[in-house]
Amino acid sequence: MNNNKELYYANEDILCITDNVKSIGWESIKEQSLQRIVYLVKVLYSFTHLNENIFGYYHFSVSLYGPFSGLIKNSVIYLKSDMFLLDTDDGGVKYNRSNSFVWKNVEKEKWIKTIILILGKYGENRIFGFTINDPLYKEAVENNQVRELDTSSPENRTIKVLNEFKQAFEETLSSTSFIDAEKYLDLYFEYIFSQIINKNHLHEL
Amino acid sequence: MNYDFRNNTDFKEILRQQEKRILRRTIEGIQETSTFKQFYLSLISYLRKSAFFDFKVLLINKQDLENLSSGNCINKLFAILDSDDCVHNNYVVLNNELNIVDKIYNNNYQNSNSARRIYAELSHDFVVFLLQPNAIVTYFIDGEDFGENIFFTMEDYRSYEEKKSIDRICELFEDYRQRLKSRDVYNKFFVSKSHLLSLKTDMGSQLDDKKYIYDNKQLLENKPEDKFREDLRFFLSEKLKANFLSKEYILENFKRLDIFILDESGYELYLIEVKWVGISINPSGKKTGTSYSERDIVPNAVKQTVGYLRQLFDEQKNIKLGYLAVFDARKEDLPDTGNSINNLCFENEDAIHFRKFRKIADFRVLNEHPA
Repeated sequence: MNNNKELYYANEDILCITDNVKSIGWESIKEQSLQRIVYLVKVLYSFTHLNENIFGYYHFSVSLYGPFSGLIKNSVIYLKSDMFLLDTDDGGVKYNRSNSFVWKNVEKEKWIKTIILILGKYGENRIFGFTINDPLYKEAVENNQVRELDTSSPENRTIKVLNEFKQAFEETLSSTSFIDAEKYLDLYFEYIFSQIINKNHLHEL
Repeated sequence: MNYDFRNNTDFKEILRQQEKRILRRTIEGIQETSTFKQFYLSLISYLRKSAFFDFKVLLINKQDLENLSSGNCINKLFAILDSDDCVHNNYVVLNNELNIVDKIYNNNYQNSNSARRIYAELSHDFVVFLLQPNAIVTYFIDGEDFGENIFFTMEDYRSYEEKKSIDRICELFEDYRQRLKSRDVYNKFFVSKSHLLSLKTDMGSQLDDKKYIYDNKQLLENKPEDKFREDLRFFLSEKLKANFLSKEYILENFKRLDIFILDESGYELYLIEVKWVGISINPSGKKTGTSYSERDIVPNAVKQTVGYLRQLFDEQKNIKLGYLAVFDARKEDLPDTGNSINNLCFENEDAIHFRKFRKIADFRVLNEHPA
């Protein structure tokens, strides 16, 4: 995929996120939160979808502030310069509604919305806790990994953990047919949050 | 964090205990629609931005909730919640246009069990949203209470919320000062009495045992900086709503920072450089070892900490403040080790970073029970 196409797709995603967070009452969003949300959007995609990861154009590495992708940084710069995003007083950005944009990829939009509706319960400030406790990210930090994080593979550490989370339900409850993949994700995030609030929160790096 | 869910018997026990609640939570219903979720999350967002210390019950019938007019829904909802009608009443009925169609003031129930029974009853006719302090919103649908989570209780959540945010870290330094007076805490920093007696023999002292122990009671264990740092880090990590780096953070020039903290949101960084003054025992345990005095703090430790602030800034890290914590285990009661900081001169390069430097009043550690 050429760089222009990648940037165009990233622009679509960033605008989709900034538009959707508005609908749950967030007036703005920080650039680091965009990095973290896109990371979760991409890494969790393979848990619910069997097809190739449609967010494959993002490449993440480890940073002190959590997962980082240069493409997202460039996209935010581009969208600000084209006035699709406006800076806000609290150091975040917001979608400039006078500059309209038409989304072309319904599947991407649907998935982004799903993740935002799960994360929205905990608030923007807590997304950091979810990313640094993501199994794939945590594993990379513990191993001092400098290369790109394997966020595309359906075999990555996060997907394995999520599948085991699901299997634990299946092995324990009398019936789990009513729990679909998105509900497992919702429950999984609640479990991670329970661990964050009940324990000393240590950030490996 | 334990990710081995399949072999985690405690985790599976929670699932067993919560089976009914999991079923209720995951079964298809209005709570699974995106309109419902957006409305619910908007209420949480509203509470997060408001100084809300009350309880309020919003009622809206299912059909109206499913058919909420989407245009400018958030702004309308926030305006309604801020309106005098909503402020002065705690039971408010809304329609699909988010207009108030009924309102009552009744302060008899709040969050008691009897109140929950009433909400459950009301929820046969309406979806009932209960807004509470700490941005907690619970809801009742068709007589069912969706208030509790599966993996944590509201009590857990409230105690987490009660932890201090990092802008109140100075209050914790004062609490820590009290902690240092506890025998269990200060004991671990100092050489034990039995060790002092064997040291007396090793050193060939002619003093009687009691006098020798008294004179050397402030002798610190070897490498006390590790114990001081870990004790302070443990205390703060229990009380602060923040993220602690689990080990020392290493700068690009390989210098190690003692305690490195990111605020809850992971945007802002704080560092604490830990030093001590007094005398420690040699690694062999047979003679006295390293000693530090106030001259090691001002200027050395201050300049070192300010240098770290500069380097973090150069590395484009959003460093907010750098604290210098000094554990004072000197025999005598002496003035604070930072008393002469204001006389320090910094070169231009460091001067701008000195503004972010804070010297914490010395943590006095005494090897004696306070009278």
